[in-house]
Amino acid sequence: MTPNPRRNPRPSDEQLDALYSGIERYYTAKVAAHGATPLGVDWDSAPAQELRFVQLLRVCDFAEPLSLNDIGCGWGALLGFLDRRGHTNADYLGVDLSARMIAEAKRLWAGRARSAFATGHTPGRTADYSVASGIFNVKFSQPLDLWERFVQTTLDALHASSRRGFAVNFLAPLDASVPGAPELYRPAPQIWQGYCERGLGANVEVLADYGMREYTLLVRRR
Amino acid sequence: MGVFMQEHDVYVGSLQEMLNLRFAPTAASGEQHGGLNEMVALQKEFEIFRAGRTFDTSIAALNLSGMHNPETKARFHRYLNSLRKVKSNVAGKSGDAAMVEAIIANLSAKKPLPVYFELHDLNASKDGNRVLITAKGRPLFYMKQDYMIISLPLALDDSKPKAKSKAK
Repeated sequence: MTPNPRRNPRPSDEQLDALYSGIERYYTAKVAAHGATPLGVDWDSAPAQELRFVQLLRVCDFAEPLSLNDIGCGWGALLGFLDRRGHTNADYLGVDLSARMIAEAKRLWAGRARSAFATGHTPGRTADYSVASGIFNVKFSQPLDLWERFVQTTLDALHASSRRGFAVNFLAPLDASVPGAPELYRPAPQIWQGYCERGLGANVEVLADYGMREYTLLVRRR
Repeated sequence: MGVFMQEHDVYVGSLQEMLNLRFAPTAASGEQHGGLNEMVALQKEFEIFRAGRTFDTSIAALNLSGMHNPETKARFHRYLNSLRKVKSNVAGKSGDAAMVEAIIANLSAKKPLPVYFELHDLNASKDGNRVLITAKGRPLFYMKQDYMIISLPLALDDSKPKAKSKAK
């Protein structure tokens, strides 16, 4: 079930750039239409968005000060959630493909110490942990093999830039008899669990029972 | 809702549908957003429905008051707020408090039920202007599914339209 890197060679820069441009346009349109709200990052409500944060942050050990990269951060909702949960000294970096999203984030969180935002798809720094919420869900009309190469490239980058571990979430597969929306990506958990265990040499915990038709992978360095 | 929604009455059905989908039975295999399992998890984590917090506030947090039309949203909230002053079929509880209490109990139950929101004509009977809560029932004849039912009072807005000012 593990993606085969030889069958799925690294995508060319041009292919990835085109894919990133599509994602950027989609989320820029969302934030332009709905502003710094859950709808502005394509979630239906704040509680639904934050229930994902609860799962992703299980990878972190908050007993000690930590640094955190948030890939696909949108307008920085996770930063507000961290603060409300009392993790105000987390050293946070949010990264998003959409410059408009990052402009909203910088405006909203201008006064928050130990926080920064940058436009792009990689954090450009190593942190204790990284998280990415919902970034693999909407595949648009991209071919499956290209999307999976994007997922693999992103997991590689998350692993490389995380000293202790990272967490990502995926939509869960539907029954084979159910025609799902073709623009959504719903891989079986074993696919990327296997890749992170065997390809990245990490320990992986799969969280699935939190009321949503999706799952979260907590990936910790051995 | 009538007097509250006025020309926005056309959206009453879609607002009702948003509520009913959010509390719907969780489909075993299908593509679905929200649904009962998610509501149970959200309630457990965030206590969205809470004693002392109005139904209206919780519904706003769940973004269930119409996403696109701000006036519809404002009118719907005004209607929901008015339920604080409306009675219920739960002794000593306002419509609002009775709904919140029933939803909290249901979502924390061992076997929570989906919740079905329906509407009744408050003028159809003497005590029609109440929120009616049924702990378990089958509101949909085409589904073998028990629900907790919350029926909201609603009336025709039969106020006269405002007279047009005459041109001088």
